[in-house]
Amino acid sequence: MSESSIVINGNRADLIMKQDLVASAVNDLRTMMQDAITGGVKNIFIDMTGIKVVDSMGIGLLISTQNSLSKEDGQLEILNISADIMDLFKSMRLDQHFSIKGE
Amino acid sequence: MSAMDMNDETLLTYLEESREHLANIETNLLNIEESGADIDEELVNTVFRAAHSIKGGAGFFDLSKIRDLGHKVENVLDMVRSREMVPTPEIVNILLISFDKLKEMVNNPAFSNDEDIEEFVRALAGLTAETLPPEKKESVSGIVDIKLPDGRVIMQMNEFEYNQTVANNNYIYLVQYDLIKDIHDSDSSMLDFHRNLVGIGTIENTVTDFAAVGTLDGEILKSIPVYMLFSTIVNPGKIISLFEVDDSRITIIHDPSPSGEDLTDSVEVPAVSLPVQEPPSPATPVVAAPIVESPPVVAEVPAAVPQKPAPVKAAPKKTAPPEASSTLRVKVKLLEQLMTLAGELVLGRNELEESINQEDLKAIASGGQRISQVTSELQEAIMQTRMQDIGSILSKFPRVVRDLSRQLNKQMNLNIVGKEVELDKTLLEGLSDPLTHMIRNSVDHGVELPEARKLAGKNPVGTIDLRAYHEAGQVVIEIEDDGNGIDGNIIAAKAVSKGLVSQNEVDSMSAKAKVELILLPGLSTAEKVTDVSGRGVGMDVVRSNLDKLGGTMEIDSVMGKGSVFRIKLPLTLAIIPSLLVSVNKESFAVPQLNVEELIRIQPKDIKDSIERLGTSEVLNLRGKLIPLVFLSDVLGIKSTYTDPETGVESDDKRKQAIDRRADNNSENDTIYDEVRIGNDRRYHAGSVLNIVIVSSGNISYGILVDNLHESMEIVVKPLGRHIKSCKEYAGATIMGDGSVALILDIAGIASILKMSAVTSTIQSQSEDETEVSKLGQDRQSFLLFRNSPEEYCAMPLELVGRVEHIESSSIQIVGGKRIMQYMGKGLPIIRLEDSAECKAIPEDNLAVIVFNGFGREIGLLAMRPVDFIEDEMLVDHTSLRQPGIMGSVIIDGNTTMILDVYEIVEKLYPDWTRDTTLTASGSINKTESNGDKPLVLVAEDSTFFRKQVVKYIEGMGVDVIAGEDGEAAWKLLVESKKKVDLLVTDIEMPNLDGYGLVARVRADSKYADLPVIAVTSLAGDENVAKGKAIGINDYQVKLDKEMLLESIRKYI
Repeated sequence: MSESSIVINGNRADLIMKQDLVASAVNDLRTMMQDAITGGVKNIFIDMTGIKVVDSMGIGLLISTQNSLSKEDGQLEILNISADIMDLFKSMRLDQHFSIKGE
Repeated sequence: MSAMDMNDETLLTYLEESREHLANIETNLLNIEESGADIDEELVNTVFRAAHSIKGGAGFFDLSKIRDLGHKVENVLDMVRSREMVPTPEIVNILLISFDKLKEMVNNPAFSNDEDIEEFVRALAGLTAETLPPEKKESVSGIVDIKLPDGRVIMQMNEFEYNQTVANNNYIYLVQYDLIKDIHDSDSSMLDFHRNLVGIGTIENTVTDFAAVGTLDGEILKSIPVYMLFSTIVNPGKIISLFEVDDSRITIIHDPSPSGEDLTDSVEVPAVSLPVQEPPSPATPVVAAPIVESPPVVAEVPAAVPQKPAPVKAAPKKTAPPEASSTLRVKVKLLEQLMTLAGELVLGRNELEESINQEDLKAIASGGQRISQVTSELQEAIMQTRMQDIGSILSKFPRVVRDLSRQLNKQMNLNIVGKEVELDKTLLEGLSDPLTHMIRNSVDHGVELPEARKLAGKNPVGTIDLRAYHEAGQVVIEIEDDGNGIDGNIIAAKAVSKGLVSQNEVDSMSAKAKVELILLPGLSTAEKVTDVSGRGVGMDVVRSNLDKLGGTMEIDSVMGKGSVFRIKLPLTLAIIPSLLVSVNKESFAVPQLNVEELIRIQPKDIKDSIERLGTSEVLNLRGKLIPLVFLSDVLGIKSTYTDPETGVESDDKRKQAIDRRADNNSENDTIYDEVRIGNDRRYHAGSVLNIVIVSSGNISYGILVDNLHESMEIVVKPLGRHIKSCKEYAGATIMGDGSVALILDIAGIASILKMSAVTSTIQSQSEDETEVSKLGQDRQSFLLFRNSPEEYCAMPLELVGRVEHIESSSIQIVGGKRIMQYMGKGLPIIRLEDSAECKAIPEDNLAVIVFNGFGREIGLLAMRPVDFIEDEMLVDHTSLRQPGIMGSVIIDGNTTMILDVYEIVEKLYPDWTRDTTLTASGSINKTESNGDKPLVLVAEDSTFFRKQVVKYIEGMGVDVIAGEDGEAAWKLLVESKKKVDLLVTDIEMPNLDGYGLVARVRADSKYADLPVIAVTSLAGDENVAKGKAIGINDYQVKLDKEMLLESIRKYI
């Protein structure tokens, strides 16, 4: 699996997801997020183009990321989500927790 | 979980039923729209039930989008049904397009879940929100609190939605579960779980305890608590197994069972109306799960879960063409009839078998007869099964017209007549596209915008009539609009400019043929190609489609009034009863539909029954005059007759029905009348007239045939390509002996003979001859030709000797005059331009019209084609008057100059006319004793005929004076200085008619022995007798020149 990469610009971080947002990826991603936030990032944008699978762990990661960012008055934004995942997130009202944009 | 099983019978049945529901909805909705506030509850109910069934079934089969859209539509319809909403055009519009979308999805179920129905849902929801009555409107923004068992309000739900859900007898559960602990840890897939839920109910609301999830630091991802408000009809027991949580975490908020309670409190808090819940749709379709009592299959989580669900957006959105229905609706009664016939067939076969065993010839014959009978009936019944009402394809047109006219800002009504006309199924399918195209054309190009129509004095609302009816073994479909018509000249010009046809060809086309050029491929005269009717590929495709079906198309158009497109299709495989007739041993079939009566006239009765009207004959049938035609003439067959005595066949020499067959001599009647030959029914020597009185629409006429044969049922076969355009025939059939008989098209024959309803329903009154004779008056035959492409000419047919086609090279110029070698002599050639101002005649397509004058044959140069017409003429003698042109008349919309060839000759050869001793035939040697020429007085009210007669007589080298009626002629007679030697008079004249004039002449001793020749269109016996009694010396028919001149010569 290819690595997801994170690009940091001042207090903004852009993460391009290259793997499914599932349990196996969560640990690495968590570390990336934490490092970014520690480094002063306030706003994280996650690009989910082409990602088709999300599981509970992945969702948990997103939620906790937002929780962490909120403490710094920051914001999480998820971009380019596929239609199914969007449906799922909406039904869970995740769109009320952080910003979600579809494809 | 497997993909939706498209072969699942229940699924297929559901889809089929849904299609049926959807088929009628459009019509119903349009009717609902029309009724407006006057809501027809039954109708709305029908549509509501349709939506309900579609929605319900969709739920079973996980067709989530179909279900959702169906649900929203149902809501709206419910409001209409309960009169909370008036179905305005806007509302009906939204319903229509929603149903269109549903139809689309039902036809492509496999892809339906990928459809985006967002806008439809929003539109429909918008309707419901807007139109709620005040008390319910509050519920739209009202909130229901959902409480945990401990009383905490964990979430809220939109009151309106809540009420709806409850009204549908759902349980409402509040389930508390943990994404990590309950789902992830048990190896379920998030998405699958979700999908399953959605398959059996609706997720009304979810609350996720985000805070409880924690931050990235610390122990993450241990728990994601979720509260979900879920409505479903599944009962509690099954819910537990679905969520795999223990029942303490499930709270029943609403129990629909009679004893159940509702744990909500409705709170009247004005709040922002919540967005309408859209249950998420699964990415891949799931297996059908019957919901009711069986344990939900969805509880079982499959081991293998697809890692990558089927791509949704990656693949291009595929819309498979809707499946052509491979089923047919057949009336139950017909099926029963088929069953009965099958039974009869079996019985008949048994009977036959038995008879064959017994070798009982008589029984075999009767058995064979029975089988034959049953076979015919069976065949007919089976054919009937394929016949469908044309209404099935016509019913979509109201919608098409409505939508299209709205789009173009035009107003129009569509009237459909003849929905019950039946057609073979294949024909119907092939007709749908052509008809759609033509209807769209009428709306787009035919009917004008309301303002333009008003300016033209028309009703701003246009009308399109769509008619279907049977006629002569064909189905006729007409599309008539009252628009601005089709300008044949524009079409022709376009066609020429596109090189589709040559200018030459166009010039010799009739107006109708030019309009029909629209059927050529590559022609589009719309200024801009509107996508409404498409490019100029239109009409020719229509025509080729029709060709394939064996049909034809006609276009009739009147500028400013409208156009009619007429499609004629054969009722292939139709069986029609018809009458067989024969002419010259050839058999023809006349559809029984058209046969009114059969008449047989004995020779002795012929004179009483048949009269001549001008140059046509009519039958006096119980006081009604029916035009008669010889079938042999119409079809161009030589009529023969077999002498009953000798059995010898010879050509029928009769020119008219009144004539005797073998011999034009009327004295020989009596011989034939008495002959009787054995049991030959034609014992009256074949002089019996066999007439079939036929009718088509309101035109009746009689067809004279050689023989009448039996009446039988025949199978109609379409005409082959080569003769399809023959108007005389509607089809063909194969006789028992294998020979072919053509089926006559009664309406077609009527149109060829230019019959109109008026002439055929004239009542005759024997006393009132004037009415009848008025028709004869001024009926003149003309030869039609042109001098140049734009100049139409005519000359009286009687003058014409022959017409020859020539090359311009045959004409030589000798001594400044044109001459042609003809029959061993030199023929002088004259042209209109020799005497009149006109265009020069072109070099090719020439003809020479040979006529007699001034004692010799002369040829007039003309342009082909040369035609002839017989009609009542309204001759304009003033305009276009020039030497060589005596007047003009309008023929077929073209101003036609009537040439006076003698004037042309006079101009060209002035010395000929002075040579009075030479005449056409023979010479007048008689001169008056005083050396003067004889003087003839002519009385004739028709300027045209008067001039003709004067010319002829002058051509004889005789002086003529003429008066336009009896009084004028009398005046001339009395005042004439010179003695009048002969009176040539018409009978029908105003002021003083022929009889009156002659009576006056005879009464006056001065003129008592003045010879009188009467020239009239009727020379019946009574007239002659009357005339002779008054003192008329001779009767001549208008306008037989030779005979007239002969007669004149006799009396001078």
